[in-house]
Formats: sequence, C-alpha cells, structure tokens
Amino acid sequence: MAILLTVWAMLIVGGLVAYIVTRSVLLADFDHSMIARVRARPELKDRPEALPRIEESAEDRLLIDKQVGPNIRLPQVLPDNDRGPTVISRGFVTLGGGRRYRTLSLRFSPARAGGQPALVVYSSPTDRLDSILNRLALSLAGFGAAAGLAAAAVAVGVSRKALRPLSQTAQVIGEIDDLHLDRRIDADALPIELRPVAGKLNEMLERIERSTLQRKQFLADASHELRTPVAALVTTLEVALRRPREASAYVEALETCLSDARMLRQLVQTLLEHARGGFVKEESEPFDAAALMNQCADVAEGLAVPARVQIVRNIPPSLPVKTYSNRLRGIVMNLMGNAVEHNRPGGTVEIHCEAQGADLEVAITDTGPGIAAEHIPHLFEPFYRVSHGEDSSNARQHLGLGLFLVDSHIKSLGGTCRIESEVGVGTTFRVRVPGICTMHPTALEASIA
Amino acid sequence: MRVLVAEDHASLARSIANGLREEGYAVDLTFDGDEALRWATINSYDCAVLDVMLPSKNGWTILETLRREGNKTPVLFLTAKDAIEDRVKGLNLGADDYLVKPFDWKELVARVRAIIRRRHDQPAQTVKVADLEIDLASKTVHRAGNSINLSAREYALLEYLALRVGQVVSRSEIWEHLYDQNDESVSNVVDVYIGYLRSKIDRDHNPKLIHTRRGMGYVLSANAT
Repeated sequence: MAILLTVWAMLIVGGLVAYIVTRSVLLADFDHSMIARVRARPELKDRPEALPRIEESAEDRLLIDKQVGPNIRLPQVLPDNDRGPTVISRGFVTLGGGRRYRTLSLRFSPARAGGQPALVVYSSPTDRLDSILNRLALSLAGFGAAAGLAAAAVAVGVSRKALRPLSQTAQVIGEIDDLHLDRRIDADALPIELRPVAGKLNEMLERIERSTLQRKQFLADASHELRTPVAALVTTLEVALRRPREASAYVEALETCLSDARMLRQLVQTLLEHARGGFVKEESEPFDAAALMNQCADVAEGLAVPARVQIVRNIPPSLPVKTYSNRLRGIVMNLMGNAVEHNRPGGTVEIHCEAQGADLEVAITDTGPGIAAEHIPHLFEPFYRVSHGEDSSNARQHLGLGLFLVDSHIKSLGGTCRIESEVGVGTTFRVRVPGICTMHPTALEASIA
Repeated sequence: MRVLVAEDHASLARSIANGLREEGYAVDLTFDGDEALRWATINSYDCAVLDVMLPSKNGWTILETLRREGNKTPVLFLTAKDAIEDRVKGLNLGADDYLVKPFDWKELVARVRAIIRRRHDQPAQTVKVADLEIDLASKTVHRAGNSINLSAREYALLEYLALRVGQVVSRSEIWEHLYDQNDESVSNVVDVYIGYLRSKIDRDHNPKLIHTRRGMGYVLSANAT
C-alpha cells in the first residue's frame, strides 16, 4: 500500500521535473532563435540608427530604443569584442488580441568605438511553443492519472489479498470458545506488521487455556471426590433399610452417614471457597496478628486436648499487621488442625510468630510422623493424600484439600510457605506473608476499636 | 460364596461388607491394595469387589497381577471415574464388570450374584435337582412344591453345592467359600451344616440328594452313585 503510494508520488514528481526541464530547454532554444533572428538584421551591425523605431511583421514585433532609458540598468563595462547582445530581461507579455509573446530586452554594443549602444526589445508570439508545452503537460497529467489509477487498482488487489489472512484470522478467533481453546492464530500467514499482535494473542490464549485446564482438572477431581462419600451415604442407608433392625443398628448407620455427610459438607465448602477466591475482592485491614494467633491456638486446643497433644505458644504480646485476616486465619487454622491430627499422644504443636522485616512469619511445628521428601513437592496439589500404612482406613476421611486451600490463600496474600520435615521427628510449616504494620500502636488500637 | 471387598473409604467399605454378609456371602474386607492382592492370591474368592483408587496398589494393578499369575477370580470394579477410557481399561484388563459410584445397592448385589453364577457356569436363575428347586435370585428353596426354610448359612451351603451340582466338593472348598477369615468356627462345622441340610431337604423325601463321598467330600446329585 505505502510502497504503491510512494511509487505514484515519484511518478508525479518525475513528470513535473520532466515538464520543467523540457519547458526551460524549449524556452532557451526559442530565445536563442529570437536573438539569432535579431542579429541577422544587417542594419543592426552597421547602422543601428537606421533601424525603425517600431517594426511589426506578421510574426514578430521589434521595438528599438536608441537611447538607453534611465530605468534600464546596463552592464558598466562591455567587452570590446562583444558584438552579441546582452539579454537584460526576458518574460512573457500578452498584447492586444490575447496573444502571448516572448519578450527579450537585448542590449547591443555599438558597432564602432564611440557609437551608441542599442537597446532592442524583441517580442515573438509563443503560440507554437505554448501548444507544445500544453500537449506535454496534458500527456504527463494523463500519464500521472493513469499511473494513479493503476496504483489504486493494484493497491485494492494487494490489500484484499493482504486482508485474506486477516479475515481467516478473524474466523479462527470467532471459533475459539471454552471447548476449542487449543486453537492458535497462524502468525506466519499474517502481514509482518500484525505478527507481534498475533503472537501476543496466542500467548493470551495459552494463559487462558492453562488456567481453564487447571480449573477443569480441579472440577473433574472434585466431582470424582464427591462420588465416593455419596456412594457411602447411599449404600449405608440402603443396606440399613433392607430389613428391620434394632435401634442401636440404626444409630450406628446414622452415625456413619453423618460422618460422610460432614465430609461432603467440607468438600462443598472448600469447593465454594476455592471458586469464590477467584472473584471476591476483600479489603485488607489492620489488626493484631498476635491476637489472631491466640484465637487460633485456643480453637486448636479444643482439638488437641482429646488427642493428648499440647499446644505451645510462642506469640509476642502484640504484632500489628495490615492484611486479610480471614485468609490468614484460614491458613493458620488449617495448618494447626493438621499438626494436631498428624501427631502422637503426648506430642506438641508449637505456634511461633514474629516480624521478619516487613513480613509476618508464622511457623507451626508438630511432633508427628513427618513427611517423606518425595511427597513434599506434591503437598499443595488438590486432592493429594499421603497414605500411612497403619491408618489407611482413615486416609479417605481427608479430602486432600486443606493444604491446597492454604497454598491458594498464601499466594493471594503474596506470601510463601516453606516445609521442613524429618520423618519420625516432625514437620514445620513456615509461612511468610507481607504486611507488618509500621503504624503507631495507639493509632492501630484506635483503628481496631 | 466368598467375596473380597477392597475399598478405602471406610464407611462405604463397611456398608458393602455388612450388606453382602446379610445377603449370605462370606466377606473379607480390606482398605488397602497390597492386602487385597495378597488375600486374593491366597484365598479362593467367588468374586472380588475392588475400588480402582486404592492406597498402595490400585485396582487395575491388582487385576493385572492376578491375571498374569493365572488367577481367574472374577473382579467387579467400583470406580468414581466414569470416563469411557477408564471403564474400557478395566474391562480390557480382564474385569468382569464395573459399577460407577454412587451405585444402587440392588444393582451391586445383582451383579455380584450374576458374576458368581457365571463363575460356576450356571447361567440360569434356578437350579433343579430332581424335585428340588433353588431360586438363586430370591434365595428360596422348594422340594416337591413345598417351600423349605433355611438359615443363611444353610442356604449358602446348599447354593454352593447347587452351583457345582453333580461335582464332588471337598470340605476345605466348602470351608473356603462359605466362611470369611475372621470366622472361628470349629473344623467339623461343615459336617454339622450338612447334617442340618439333610434333615431339612432329604429326611422326608426320596430320592436322597446330598451324598457323602468318603474321603473326598459331598455331592448334590439326583443319582446316588
């Protein structure tokens, strides 16, 4: 497109230059022939005073002034041997009848020393010259217009051809939906200017496809995980109702159902929480992390006492932070719940929290069986479960979603989690999230109040 | 009939085991894949109900190992995966059937029963020996048109003999197929139950159908020889 416009503009400029050059050459030639005609007059050579003052022929018009007028400047010194005229001015005049003339003012040096110089104004009609120049201008303009049209036609064709991949691309984009996210735009088929755009679009599709796949996988896993507790619920009830039983047998069946129903509830809650995590924007707020940790420890104590596990608190008196308290609570409660559960009777769960520069660090350490190194990289995957031989019957009581949620909460807070574990000794989950408050304690208290 | 149930969701596993026991099956229950494979190798089951996703060894691996060793124990898969390729995979490995969770209890029982019938080449729902009729679906027994009331154990013994009608069945085979591993019955319990069955089926009728083959075992047959 741009190339065609350039070529056309160059043609136009070239035509103009050709016209101007031709015109000046023709004019110079015309002037030359006019001078030659004047010089050919024998009177000019010998007796310029014999020239008539004004002589008009059918063609030319000769005006001769023997006195150089005061308003015509003549060269001060004339070379002695210069017999030829000096052109003082040249131009066009239009005389009566609308005829155009080329007019030259010529100065002739005197033929003899002491003689008078002669000023001759010679005009000659330019009809022929004008008509040649007009024809030239016309044909050049015609050529320019034709070239312009041709360029336009070629441009339309080219752009239509250039647009074909664009319309194909548009079609591809139109076909992309959640079932066809693997489609990609063929960047090589596009004009070079559009390739970066296509590349970025493909990168965007890549990201969307990845996150959609993750979400689909999570959904598939979740629905898979829903089936077993539902099967347990239905089967337990069906078997219980097959025949009349004693009250205690019904109670046992109902208790079994209740535990499965609780598991389903937890699964559903987790699913909803995960789904909501991506959409709901909460406000971060200033609060005392130490108080939050103590609340979590209180709740964990309720679980720890029956399991004969001791909660050890290593919490400063006050630790102002500004972050999302609900998510922080979710993280700490989940980790403490796990630490109590995967522990031994007489064991401990230590909660330690402190400021590490601008970060809040919370470490929860248990004295449980520890986690083998090969499991650690997978712990945060949804539905990942580590089965311990001796309590495999209980393995299914856990959904494998707790740590997945912990991880997604930590990520949403911009934090990190490190797992240190030694088999047979215990495990520490070390969580760091930004948000230590630099606010003055009284201002913080006021804002909390 | 003895059934192995391997399912790691404890409450589901217990409910299946209890329900099948009430249907008259001897049931061994495990929550673990390794244990399921070990038990299926040493015991002779009439059917194994296996969850696909078991800890330590999944159902597919168990089935593959059993078939490689020439073990033909019929396998019914319980699976939470309903993708076609998952079902096809199980069947290709030599599974006899599969059920997608959550399933209907009656369907599970019907399929277990059908698998056991096929296992003993007994395609019909009823087995007839002279004027004795055993309905395998409704678990009812008639002799000469009269209904005979049997306890669950007695019925299970008669059903096992009926499925192998005309064949001599040893005491240890009967023991293996009718009692689960937690059963602590004394060793002559098979003879005791044969006695109960005879008094209910053969005492008032002719010809006698339950015969003793000394040193070999018992046979259910219309012919004495």
